[in-house]
Amino acid sequence: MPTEKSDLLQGTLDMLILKIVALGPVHGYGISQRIRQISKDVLQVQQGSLYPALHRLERRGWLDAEWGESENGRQAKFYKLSAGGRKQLAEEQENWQRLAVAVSLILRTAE
Amino acid sequence: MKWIDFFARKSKVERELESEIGFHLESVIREKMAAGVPEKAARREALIEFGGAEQTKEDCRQVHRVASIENTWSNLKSAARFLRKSPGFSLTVILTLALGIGANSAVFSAIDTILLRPLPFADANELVVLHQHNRTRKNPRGLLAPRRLEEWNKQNSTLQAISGWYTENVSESSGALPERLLRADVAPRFLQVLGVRPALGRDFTQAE
Repeated sequence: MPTEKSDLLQGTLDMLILKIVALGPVHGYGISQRIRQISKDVLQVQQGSLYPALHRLERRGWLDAEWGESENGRQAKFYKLSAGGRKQLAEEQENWQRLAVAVSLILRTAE
Repeated sequence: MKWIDFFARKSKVERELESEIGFHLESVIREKMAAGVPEKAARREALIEFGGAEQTKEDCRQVHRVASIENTWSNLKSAARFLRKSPGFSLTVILTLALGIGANSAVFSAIDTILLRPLPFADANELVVLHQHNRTRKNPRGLLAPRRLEEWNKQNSTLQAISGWYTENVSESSGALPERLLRADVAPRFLQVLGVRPALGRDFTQAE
């Protein structure tokens, strides 16, 4: 393993999925690939949490799902962001930034 | 939602779940094979990495189940909200339903006792009520003299027998306080016509 893997913070998986899906329609396998690649192998989503999360987000209306042909010609379920999902992503990103700034402020002053 | 839709939807979720997870496993296997792992080993590794495909599917199913329950609950909540928001309409609907159900059950209990449930006598279908009808009187349906009843009974050839009764309120004053009783004076053959036996004692004889 090239780098140490980090556990995902509670609640960040949904945001990461929304962000990845915002880049364009993608299937579950693609989402896990991209999270791994973009995070340079630091974040690795467990399938066992990825798929329930996808279904949950779809149920909430933040993701739209559509069956289509994958790169290798097999039928795959492609997810894309809905209008509600876009709003949710913006909100979660803002929250995350605020939280990150607050946490780093504390870490800096505590030294 | 129709039940047939409900089951059709469920199996669709199931089919899609199978196919979605299957695609993922397939992709991981391809990736490993591309990296030079033989197919058998690649499949085994993929399954191990995936960590319980069944468990993942069950977690996905759970998402849908919880959502259905939440949907039902929110439907109920919005129904309650709607009822509260327009009390006039709600009251009308509730009253209409209440009256409808009430009237129906009242009519049905009447039909049940009058038409469907037989009288509590043997061969109740052979019992008929006879009246004397005198048009010249102000109240044409009057009482019948016992003697005339006996005449009817003698001349009758249609019915097995004719009997009669007359009831009046009387006072029973043998106790400390008087009590009201309903007394029935009956014509001969009364109990035989109804086909019942006295609960105590014996029936009247013809001579009595």
